[in-house]
Amino acid sequence: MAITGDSRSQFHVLAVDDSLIDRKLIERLLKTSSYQVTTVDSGSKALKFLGFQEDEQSNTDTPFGSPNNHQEVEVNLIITDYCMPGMTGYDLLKKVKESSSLRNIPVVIMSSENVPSRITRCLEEGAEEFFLKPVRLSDLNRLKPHMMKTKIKNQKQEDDQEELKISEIQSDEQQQPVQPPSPQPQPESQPQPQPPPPALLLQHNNNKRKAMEEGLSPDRTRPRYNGIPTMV
Amino acid sequence: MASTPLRQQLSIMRQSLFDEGLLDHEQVSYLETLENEDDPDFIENVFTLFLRDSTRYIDSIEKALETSPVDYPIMERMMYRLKGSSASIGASKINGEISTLRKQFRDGDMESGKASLQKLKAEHANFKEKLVVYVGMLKQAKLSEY
Repeated sequence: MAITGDSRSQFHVLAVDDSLIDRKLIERLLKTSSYQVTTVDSGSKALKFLGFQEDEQSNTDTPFGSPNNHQEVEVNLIITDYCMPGMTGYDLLKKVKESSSLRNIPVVIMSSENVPSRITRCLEEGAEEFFLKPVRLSDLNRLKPHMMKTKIKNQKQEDDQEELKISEIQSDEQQQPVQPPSPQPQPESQPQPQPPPPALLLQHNNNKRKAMEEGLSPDRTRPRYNGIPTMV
Repeated sequence: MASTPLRQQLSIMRQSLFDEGLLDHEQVSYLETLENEDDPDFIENVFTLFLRDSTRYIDSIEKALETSPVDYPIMERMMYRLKGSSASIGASKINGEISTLRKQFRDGDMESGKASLQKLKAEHANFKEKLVVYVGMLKQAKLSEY
């Protein structure tokens, strides 16, 4: 699967906000950036949409995701407001990160209030970014790398699954030679591959926080994920 | 698009909303860039939504104040929502008033808080009046161009 400029239309974002105006806004922003969008007005509805199973434990690591993956629709990113009645964005973040099938989905928190302890808490719990509202298009540009990460991971899982199936077929039916699909390393087909210096990953975290405090948007080139230990 | 008399009126009104500090130029311009063929009525819809929601929020704040004991959780939530949505559409004056209000109630200054609420109501009524006209003109301008 080649990653082209308009691969963004394949990315599906789940936006969670109890404010209708903010839902409309984030939906417009995301659609303008060519993402597919689903909006829900609460954390519990978000979990429902994600096919969350209450009794899932996070101890089993299923590399192919198949038996435990109850996700109905593929979601590449969750963006949620922090302050919501009932289940807050933070609660939702925790639930997602504790779920074996959902924890790989990057989560972004939005808030209209700049509370450093809140920001820290969310980042420590595994949120990829923390946006101050009103969210800008430039903020959304920071989402691309996070979503690419899951696409690459999912694609690799699919490729591995395919290979496994093919080799099973081959061992059963030796007469029929089947062409195994050649694994396509995703990063190679990126339009502008650039190896990031190791410092970039560290810098990324600092930039995130700095950007939040200063209201800036760090202009990052798209990092290549080949050979970099992925952090989840 | 052609600068019809209607469009010119629209432009004048838009500018006066900025000049009066009712709307934030940057935020509104930003919202306007988001409007396109996929969602040609985005601005009107968002403004209309705000008119509806803001009225509800202010009513709720008032009611919460009148209950005995005062329903602080509801007040907090409504003020928070109003603060958020006013920032989202660039309603700067309202956003400013709500911040003042919030601080006063949080500090326990009920007298000032109540006075500020009245001020907010007046600001809101004024804003509503003007925004309703603006949204109407937006719609008219679009229709006349079809």
